[in-house]
Amino acid sequence: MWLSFVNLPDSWLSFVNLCMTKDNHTRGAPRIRPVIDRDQVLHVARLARLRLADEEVETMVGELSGILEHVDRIGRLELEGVEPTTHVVALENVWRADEPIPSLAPEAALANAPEPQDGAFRVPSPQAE
Amino acid sequence: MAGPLDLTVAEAAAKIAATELSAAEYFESWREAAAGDELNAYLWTAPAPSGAREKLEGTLGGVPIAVKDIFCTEGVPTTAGSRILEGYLPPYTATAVRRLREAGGRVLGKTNMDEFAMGSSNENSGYGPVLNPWDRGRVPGGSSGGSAAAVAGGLAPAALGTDTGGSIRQPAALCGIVGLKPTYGAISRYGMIAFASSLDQCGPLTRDVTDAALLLAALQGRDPCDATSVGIEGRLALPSREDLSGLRFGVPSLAEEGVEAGVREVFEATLQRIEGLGGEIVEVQLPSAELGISAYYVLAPAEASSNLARYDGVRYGVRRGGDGDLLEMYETTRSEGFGAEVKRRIMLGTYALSSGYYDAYYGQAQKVRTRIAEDFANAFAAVDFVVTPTSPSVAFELGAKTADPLAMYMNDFFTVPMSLAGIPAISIPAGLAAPDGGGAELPVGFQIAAPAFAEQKLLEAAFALETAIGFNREHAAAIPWKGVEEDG
Repeated sequence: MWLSFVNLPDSWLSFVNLCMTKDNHTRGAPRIRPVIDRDQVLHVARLARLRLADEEVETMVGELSGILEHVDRIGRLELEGVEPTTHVVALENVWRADEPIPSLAPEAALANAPEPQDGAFRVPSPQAE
Repeated sequence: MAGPLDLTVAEAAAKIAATELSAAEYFESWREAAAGDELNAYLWTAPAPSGAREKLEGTLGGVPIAVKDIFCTEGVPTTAGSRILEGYLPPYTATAVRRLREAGGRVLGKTNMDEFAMGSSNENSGYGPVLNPWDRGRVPGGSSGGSAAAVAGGLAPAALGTDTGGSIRQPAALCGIVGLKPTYGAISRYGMIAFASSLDQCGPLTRDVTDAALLLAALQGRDPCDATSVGIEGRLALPSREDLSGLRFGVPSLAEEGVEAGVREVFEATLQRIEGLGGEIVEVQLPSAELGISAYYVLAPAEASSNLARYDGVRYGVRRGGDGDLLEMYETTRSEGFGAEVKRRIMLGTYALSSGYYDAYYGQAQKVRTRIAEDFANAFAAVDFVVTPTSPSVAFELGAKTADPLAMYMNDFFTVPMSLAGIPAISIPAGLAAPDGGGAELPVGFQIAAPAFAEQKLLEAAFALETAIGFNREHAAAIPWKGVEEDG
């Protein structure tokens, strides 16, 4: 038998806890609202250029709220002064010689275009009536 | 009697080099096996060879490799498991695939996957789920589920996958094979369709640790096309270590709930085996690792929402709508082209990055990421490796977790912290266990993680442990790929 499984240290929360985080947000001041409502879902969908059917909106409200409620655990941590990680491998600015190399030929770049025209990508007008 | 399809990549390449095995016949045998795919593991398989002379020189001389459909392959359909890329023929080839070919490898087929690598069961593919070769009523894991099922099911000798939060290691575990996620930056991401760029990493899925080393040696290295690629100093040698004496293995404190009893038993038995090989087991603390899932499911969707903005019906992929204005075309294309999980993550990521929420979600998640990396750095000051079960459960039934996204995300509990820290980790099959609900025994994976760029050391330890466990020998009768030739 292994020590680590016998005791239940605090460091790794139990899965039950993790899966079922239903913290009421009364203890401590929540920094963010952990749930998302219908209007917010529609707003975010517009930002993301997605059109959701009515039933999709309802599902999304429930699912996103559940995920955000879980994720909210990190929103309430005191992490003042901790450096954010944007990149895990310590790289200095990466330089390369400024040498011209062949780039993609226009025909190749256009080969997958839904509607190529005159060497360009044709799209519907942004201002169609 | 063992036939050519029973050979590992290393064995086959050696036989081809010694002209004991015809590369053309060997490839053709694999092509036929792949063409008989009943697992929905492949989205495309190579046509009969044109007769053109193939490169046989190199460490992979003549060996066919299955490639996850997330890698761009010039002139070969590449969909990333999404309907939005149906019919897409990339104009260029991913560096990882190019390097495999330069080492003599040949692309056998493109494997099915969760759409844009978002998923842990392969049920999010736009082209139908992949079936686990051990039990076709169960998932192979994901997102590299097609690659894992192909190798485990005797449809490919080895495969390429990608791992953002566990997408190589978890399916390898659920299918009873080896899966290696190298250090972030070890292998170029050029031509690998982006999901979450700060986490995505390519790696091999193979029958054994030696093949994983062989493929990594061919794949790794700096690439001018990927500024984040680093390349590992020196050549990677094939592992040969027989004991673990002098090595310390850190076991993070784990909770009992959530990990299946059978998985726990196999994990404990493996720890004892490590001690039997002279290794030392030490308890380590990773206090922030339990926040991994929360941080990951902010960071990865945030990056995805940005990366997937490019699928707009303008330059490539599918276009829908367009009778109206440009905005209508964008929305119709994306709404009809993306599946439910991809939309969910785009929504989540867009929300997390939106005005007023950025600091609370994305900023905090990046700081948690720092904490997790520090946890591992502290642990590695005292131990050589950190070990965990790869997945909390054996392969689960199709449909079992599709209704609850959060329950699905919990599959990544043990694999996400390593991804956030950018460190290498390998999953090796450690034994068989019955699922909690009962039923036939299924593979259990054992995960070993090492400090950044310590791949050689990681592979040596995994090799010694693999040899002691003898999974492929002990469970020969149950291993699906072992039955290939008889079914022939």
